[in-house]
Amino acid sequence: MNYNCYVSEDHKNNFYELLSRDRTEPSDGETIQLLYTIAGNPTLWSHHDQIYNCEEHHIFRDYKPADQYAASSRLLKRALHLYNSSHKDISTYDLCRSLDGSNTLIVLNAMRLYMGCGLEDYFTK
Amino acid sequence: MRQIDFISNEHQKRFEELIEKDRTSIGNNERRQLFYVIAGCDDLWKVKDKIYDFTNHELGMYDPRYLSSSLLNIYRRSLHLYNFHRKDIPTADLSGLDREHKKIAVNAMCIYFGIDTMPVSRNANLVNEKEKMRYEL
Repeated sequence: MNYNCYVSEDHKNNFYELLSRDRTEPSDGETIQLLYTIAGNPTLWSHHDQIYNCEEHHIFRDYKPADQYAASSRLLKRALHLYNSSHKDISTYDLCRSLDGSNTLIVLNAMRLYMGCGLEDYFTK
Repeated sequence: MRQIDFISNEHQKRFEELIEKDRTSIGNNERRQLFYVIAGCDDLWKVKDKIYDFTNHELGMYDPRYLSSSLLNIYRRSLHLYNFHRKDIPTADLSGLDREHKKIAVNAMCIYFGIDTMPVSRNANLVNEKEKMRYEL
């Protein structure tokens, strides 16, 4: 079983686009994991400009997912907590139940990025 | 083929010892991640028989109040993954861990999901040969 840093080529391209627009510092694991999560989930990506303002480097507080129990919403809840711990976390069990392989990979890799583990694996350019 | 990344050879030896002692099945990712955490943290390793009852294959009666805050957090996360009725910690509380314990926390999650762990230490022994033989992989 191979371990992948990205769920798709689109995920990688979206992530690099957000990093470039945000000009994220490599040491800013909180923001990196958030952008990684948004870039990897199609639902979050379709709302990325409503979730995070890359030009002004902040999240939009008024973004509310349509379905709070959807995988995308649970992923975002964990990512927002890691971005700023004043956001309530979701329990790991609630986060992970019924996740498909792609979203599971996003959860794990976002945690690695947040913790600063193996950062170099994600950046090939 | 499963690959588990360990922070040291000692960590790997201890993990294999716990798996052997409990005769844990390869599909029991909840228990495997717990043993991975116990084996990687010296203060948990010292009280492994209090944390886990190897005779009855269940959690023991360990009182973790004397653990450091950071170790208590990694331990509580592991207990939550072992049994979701145990309350989880806010993930941001793991940010205070040192580098090695951060790797353990991340790799424990990978084991929980049954996904191969990526080598985070290039010098570590990446393939758990004994485990491969045990499960005939």
